[in-house]
Parts: sequence; structure tokens; C-alpha cells
Amino acid sequence: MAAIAAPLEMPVNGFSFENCKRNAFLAGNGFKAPKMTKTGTTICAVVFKDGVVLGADTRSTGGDMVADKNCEKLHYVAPNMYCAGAGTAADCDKTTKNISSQLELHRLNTGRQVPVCAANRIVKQMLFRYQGYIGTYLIIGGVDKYGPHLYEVAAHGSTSKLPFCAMGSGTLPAMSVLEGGWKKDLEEADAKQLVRDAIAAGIFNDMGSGSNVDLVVIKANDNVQYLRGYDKANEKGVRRQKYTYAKGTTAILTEKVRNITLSERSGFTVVSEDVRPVEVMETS
Amino acid sequence: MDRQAFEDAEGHFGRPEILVANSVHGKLDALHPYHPLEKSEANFHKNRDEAEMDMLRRTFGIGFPLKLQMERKAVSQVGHLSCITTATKPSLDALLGTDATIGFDDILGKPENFENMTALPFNMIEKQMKLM
Repeated sequence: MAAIAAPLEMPVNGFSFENCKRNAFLAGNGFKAPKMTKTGTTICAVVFKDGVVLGADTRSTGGDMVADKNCEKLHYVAPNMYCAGAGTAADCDKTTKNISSQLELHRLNTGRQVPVCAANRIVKQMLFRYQGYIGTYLIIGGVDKYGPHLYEVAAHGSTSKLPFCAMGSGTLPAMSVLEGGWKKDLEEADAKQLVRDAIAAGIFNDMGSGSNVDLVVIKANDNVQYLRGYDKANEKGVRRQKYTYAKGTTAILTEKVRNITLSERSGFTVVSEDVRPVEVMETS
Repeated sequence: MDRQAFEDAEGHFGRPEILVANSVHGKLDALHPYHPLEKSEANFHKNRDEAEMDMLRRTFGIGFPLKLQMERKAVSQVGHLSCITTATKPSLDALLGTDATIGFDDILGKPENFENMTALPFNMIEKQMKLM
């Protein structure tokens, strides 16, 4: 509650719901709330022989408009873990930063590398606490001492451990490519190609995904390769000629000049008008 | 209260709000929150601790949770209130495990980040005195 309203109690740490009352009041007066920036996205990941490959497109949308043509959807979480995020962009960013801090504290406390299942459990418990109001759909991938792991987390707190997965609005095209191409114990080059194909399917078939393909390849012993712009599939073309017209291409025949004065009420009054022909211009 | 305090008590949208917490509006707001998570978030830590203590009581008997709660109470009585100083209670954090976790509770809504004074120290001390 506001400062003067409740001097008897300290406000609780964490989220403040003060603005919800204001929003309800404004909505009642007909004010439309701004649209959240979402990552209408294609993200996918596969487990291969030596580790995991995560991939994402780079378009973020706010309603029908593209808000960012080249955003980063693959977030660093730990030296051996990366996270691909779909859903509300701000929620994804903040949630992954939160998990990253949490895992670092955990690592300092225990003195050993944090397993991927720990990250999964921390995220799951946090998202369940907020009952899906934090709109993050994540794919957490990493390699720890137990091997390569891939977890898929939904906004309400449900998780799955999978060998390959896709999330976001481009799930269907990406998943169809993954289902057709995934085999156990893929080689690194094949895995990268498969993820690139799946994301490209999402980019070209889904309205909410677009621009480039980003990849992260994670192998054992913190061997991480972040390939930003691995495949720039949608670069703007370069114009090969000048398509402008030379000055004087369109002949001007007559010219009408009107002298006006601004009147007190909105509008203007014409004082004088003059029509005269124009001499032919030299084309330079 | 003198007139100065009345003039300062302007709340949302320019309307004067005096003693809003105990007025009809305040009570209605508390009963029907504007966001479904308001009640759940306000009671989150309390509910979680109660559920954990209940589970411990069923599995280990009354002694173990009683000892834990006594430790927490003893440690929380040391130190100043957060409206007076921003130094936290380290032993309480260690017992609760919050020194090893970081969440939205530690980033958002911190008393030291508020622009105005949200709770009068007098009221906080009075509340504490009643319990102590």
C-alpha cells in the first residue's frame, strides 16, 4: 500500500502490486495498456554424442510489430549451461539472470560444479510460486559430470527431461524437422546442421520468428562455443543500381501561387492568387 | 493531527486519503485484491515455514521443530528493525538459508530503495514492544 496509507506496516520484499489498482482504474476509464514485448520464437535443442546444441532465432515482437530484429535469446546461466528463452522477453531475461546468480551462490556454497538438474529444480520452484504470471518458457541445456542434459520448462512450472525439444510459436515446424532428423549419438557437425535446419523451418514458416539463427554448442569441461549469427538467412539485399529519376524528368506546366493570412479561428483566408506558366527546365 | 498533516495526506489520483488502511476502501481492497497473487505472495514465507514445521512435527515429533523455532526466535530478537538501519540479521539469514539464495525478494521491493519513509519507526518499535 502507499506510504501514507499504511504507516503501521513495512512493505513486503519482492513484487509490489500497487500498480494493479492503478491499472484497473485506468482500464475502467478506457485506457488501453501497452502490449508486452514477446519473443514469438523458435527455440530448439538436441543432445548429441559429446554434449548439447541449443539454437534460437533472433526476432522479438510486440503485438504485430517486430520490436528487435536481432535480439539474443540464448542466455548464459553457468559456465557449463545455457538457456534458451521464449515468452515475454523481459521475464526471460530477468529469470535467467536470477537463476545465474542463484547457481553461482550454490557453486560457492557447495564448492563443486552445479548439475543441470539443480538449475531445473530452482527454475521450476520459482515459476510455480508465481503460478505462470511470469511468462517464461525455457530450454535449459548443459553438460555436467553426469553427462549432457536438456530440460524443457513451461511458465507454470512443469518440466520435462528430453533428448531433443522445441518451444515457442515455431515449435511445430522445428519439431517436425527434429523428429525426422534426430538419431542417438549424432556427430557435432550433424547436430549443428539439424538444429540450424529446425530453426530455419521455424523462421520461414512461422510469423513470430525471423532473422538469423544463433547456436550454442556445449561440450564437457566447460567447453562452450557461442555462435551468434551462425546463419544469417534473412539479410537485406543490396541495391545494384540507382533507381532515382533525373531532375526535370517530369515537366512542370503551370504554377499557382496563393498569398494567405492566418485567421483567428482555425483556417486561413486567401489574399491573392496568381497562375502563371513555367518555362521549360534544363535537364541536367 | 494538525492541519499540515491533513494537507500532506494526498493519496492516489489527487484525492485526500486519511486513514485509508482502516476505511471501507482499504478493507475492500484487502478482501478483493487486484491481482490473484497478492494474497499468495504476502503469505508465501509464512505458509512455507508452517508446512515445513508441520511435516517435521509429524515425522520427528514436537521436539525438533520446537527447537528450530526457538533458535529462530532467539536470533530474530537481536538487532535493529529495518526501518532504522539497512543492516540485516545475519544469523537469521543463516538459519533460514536465505544467505545462500537470491530471488526476486532480494532484488525488488527493498526498503533501502524506497524514496520515502514507508513505516514510522515509532509504530514499528511499538509493535515489537508488544511482542517482546
